[in-house]
Amino acid sequence: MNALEVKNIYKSYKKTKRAEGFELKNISFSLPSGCVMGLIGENGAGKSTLIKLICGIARADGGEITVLGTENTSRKFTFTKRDMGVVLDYPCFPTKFTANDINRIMRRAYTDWNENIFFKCLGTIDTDLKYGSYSKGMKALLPIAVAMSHNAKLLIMDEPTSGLDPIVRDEILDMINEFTREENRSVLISSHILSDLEKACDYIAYISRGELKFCEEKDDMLDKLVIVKCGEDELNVIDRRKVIGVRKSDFGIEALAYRNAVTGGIHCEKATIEDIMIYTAKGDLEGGARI
Amino acid sequence: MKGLLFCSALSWRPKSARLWYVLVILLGLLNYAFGVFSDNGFAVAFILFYCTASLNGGVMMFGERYNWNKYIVTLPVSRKQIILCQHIETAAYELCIYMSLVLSSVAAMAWKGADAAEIVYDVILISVIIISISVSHMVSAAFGGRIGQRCGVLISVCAIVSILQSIYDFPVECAVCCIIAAVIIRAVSIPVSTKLYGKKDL
Repeated sequence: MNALEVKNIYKSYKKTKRAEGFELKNISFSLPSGCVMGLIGENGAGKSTLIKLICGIARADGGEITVLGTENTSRKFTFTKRDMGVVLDYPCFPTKFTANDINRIMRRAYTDWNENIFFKCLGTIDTDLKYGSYSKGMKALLPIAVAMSHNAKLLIMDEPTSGLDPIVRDEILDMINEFTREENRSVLISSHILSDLEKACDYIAYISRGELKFCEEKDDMLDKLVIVKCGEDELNVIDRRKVIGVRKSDFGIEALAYRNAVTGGIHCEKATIEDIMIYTAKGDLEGGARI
Repeated sequence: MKGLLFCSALSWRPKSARLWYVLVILLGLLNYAFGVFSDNGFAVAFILFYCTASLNGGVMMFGERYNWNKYIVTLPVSRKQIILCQHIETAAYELCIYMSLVLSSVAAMAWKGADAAEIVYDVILISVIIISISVSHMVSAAFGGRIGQRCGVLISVCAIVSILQSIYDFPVECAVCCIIAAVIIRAVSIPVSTKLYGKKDL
């Protein structure tokens, strides 16, 4: 079963005096139960919009989103939200509320609320401190603690580690790993910190300018793609249909290509998610391959 | 829904709503003083306007100010329940204003003797608050809390100014009409705001 299915989702925002117009163009992908999917893309690519559409914060103009087997526009979705934990990419709690207040609200909102997990996730944060006086790391931790504490089956996190130091980021990744240890728990996480996603994810979906460029199994993708470092002549030997992107500099040529297309003698290195994203976005190659 | 109602209840704590309690008590005291000693209702209307404006601002814009309105959509509640909760919260705050107005008027009448014109005046003031807040609920649901608040405040200002210009000249029929209008607009505002909010991108 899929924890999340997105089918042909279309959303457009008209251009106004204050904002640029934007279109999310027929996005389709699915997240199998028990897996972690990383959503990557440049700023303004549509990641947050897609997450808003999945959570029901915004309404799609077309297409269908099914979360844990329930369409997110149906009435049943209200009950499905009990099994969803959501972390948005901006502070979203009233500044006068303390963690104790949030605990008391959520205890009444979720039937499966577990305050022991909630306070454990908060660690050393003073629970009587007002949210407005939290540091950036503490502010990021509170919605994550809420999302982890009601036995959710699907976590949707929009840049939960953005702007945080490596130690807090590592703690958050540990929490995600801990969360997915139980069977059938899935996570959709968007982030610009690709090294974090590389550690945590099973699937990677890349959105660019409102279009889904690829949605692939991470290990499979990292296995089959390599960075080739060579000269012009050596590059010409490689089948163009197996090269995804090329970047030229004074020091030579670097290309992202399928491993099976690279013949012996050409120097190649393991590709990272960051390489794949950059070459897919910038290394446009006429007649080149797509992932 | 219980979580949202509890969240509303938290904003009633004296440390969160101190100014609100001061305004309501001030409103009652001024209304009493006005009923006993004076024929000029300006001060009462002025405080009433402040109460309505802060009520509009407090309830309609609370969620938007902190992005809380987006977050609560992800909790296990429907948008209909969110709007219903807002209406319940507003009604509780309104009740404070009415109690303040009614109790102070009754106290003034006990001191000075019943005055029909004053009762009509109070009924019209209460109707104005109901209409202002109901309209601002509908506008907020469609265009956001800020515009809703401005709209509500504009209605209260216009209504209060016109009430003050013709103070004590209201026939009883006028009060009856105002109450009927307020009840109808309030009744309509709940389904209309629910419908508008249901389709809105937050």
